[in-house]
Amino acid sequence: MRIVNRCLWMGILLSLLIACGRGEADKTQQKQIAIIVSTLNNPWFVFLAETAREEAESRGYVARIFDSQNNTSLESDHFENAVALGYDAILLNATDSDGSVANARKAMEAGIPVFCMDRELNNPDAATSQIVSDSYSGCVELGGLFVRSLGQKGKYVELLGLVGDNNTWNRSKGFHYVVDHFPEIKMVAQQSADFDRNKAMEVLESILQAHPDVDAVFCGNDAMAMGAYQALVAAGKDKQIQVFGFDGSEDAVGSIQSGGLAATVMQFPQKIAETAVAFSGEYFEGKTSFPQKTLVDVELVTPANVSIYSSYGKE
Amino acid sequence: MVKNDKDIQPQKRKALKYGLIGLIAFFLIYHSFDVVPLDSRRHDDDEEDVAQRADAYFLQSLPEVLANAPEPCTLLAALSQKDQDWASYGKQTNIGNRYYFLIRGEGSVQEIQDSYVQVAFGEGEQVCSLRVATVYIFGNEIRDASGKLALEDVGELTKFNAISERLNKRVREEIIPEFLGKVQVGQKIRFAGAFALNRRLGVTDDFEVMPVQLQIVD
Repeated sequence: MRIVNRCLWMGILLSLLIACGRGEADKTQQKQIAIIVSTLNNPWFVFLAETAREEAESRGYVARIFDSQNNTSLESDHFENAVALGYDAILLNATDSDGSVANARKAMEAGIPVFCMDRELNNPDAATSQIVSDSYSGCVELGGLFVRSLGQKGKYVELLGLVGDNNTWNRSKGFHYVVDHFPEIKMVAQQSADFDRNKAMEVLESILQAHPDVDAVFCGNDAMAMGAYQALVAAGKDKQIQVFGFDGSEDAVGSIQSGGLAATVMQFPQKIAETAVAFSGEYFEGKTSFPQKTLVDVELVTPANVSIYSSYGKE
Repeated sequence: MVKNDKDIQPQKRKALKYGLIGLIAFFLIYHSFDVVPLDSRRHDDDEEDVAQRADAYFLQSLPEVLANAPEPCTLLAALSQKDQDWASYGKQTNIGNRYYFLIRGEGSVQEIQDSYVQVAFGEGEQVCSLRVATVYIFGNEIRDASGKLALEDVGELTKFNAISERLNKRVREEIIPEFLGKVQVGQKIRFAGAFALNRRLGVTDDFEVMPVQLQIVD
């Protein structure tokens, strides 16, 4: 009888332990993360969003991706939905450094933490934390390579990204900080191509009409670099004019391998996404204080070292 | 006939008096205010803050850490070992593979190139040769290698970057010209500097060290 009693008690205790454990698991699984991305038209952002979702799901959270289509109004709708649907955290890849501040604030005011990925907001209080690539430093390094490649002398074109995005200016500033120290290197045209491949091709074709003698093109992202390179191939000038990009996209890495682009700067969206999800997890566990800005290193990819890199810095 | 004050009517005299007082008051008030756009005021404040932080770092914090920096060849030998923990020798500012290091020692000038000076360090079995940059001094090596200046302390990223720019400018404009004006192959130099390496790439042959102190010994 005593043995039966002991077995019964043991059974009850075990059931209680299992029930408690399941309760914890359920609690974790209930956490929902909204991943609001500026656009899913650019493969770089697709990779960022997908990686964030996979990382969130691997930690037992429910994650859903929202595409803002580079439209702050649509982004605003996503934020309203995320708040109404009771999401526990938002990972934001902002559409506009200024225009997205109000959207992020809606969530923050509703008590939902916002972790920015890659694109920063111009108000540090608008997000719980911002995890961004060190674009400025990456372009300082790229600027050094650019000057050396040109032998400290030549003419170049700069294709800027979206003018409302801080990344556009951080990259441009880092690049100019170095290149502008060399008086014999002259910028003959600077124009925005909105981070878009087709637009970059059109813009460069038109610039080449007025400045056929340029030596290099610096582009704020790889999509534009690929568009610019396409324009140069069409004009038969791809061997004379060097093209420099930024991102480390699949196309760009392949192009450097085959002797196309001169260099790019590799970003690591995987690290950005993983850090953002890890911060969300820490928030769920009770942490409330996060660094305003966390920088992620970028690395220069050239024909000399391209063999050790895969697209988007996948590891 | 000459007109004098007595010919002016009292009412006109009063108006003239108050007019003159008003003009003088307006002149004094106008010149006691300095009207500047808020943006430019903030910009000036930021520049001053950057200058103060950069100067304090370069003249106080950095030399304190540099005093205990390792000899170049010893450090490079340690970093070249497989599975060596770079974090125990260098500093990291960001998430990633880039580490910043400080070194100091005495070496002899081997070559003077357009953008760097090749310097040999060490004796006996432990010898090494490094490129000391003389042109491309633009990165974050000097700011980040000591670990004494962090983004959280400075607040804004633009200011943090501006500190790096100011430190580099100081080296480019104050240290390099004087050194290049005197240096010759074969001379012995006392050197302290900072460099960055990517853990993924390991210790490469062509990295350049950013000088912080350069002194010709003989």
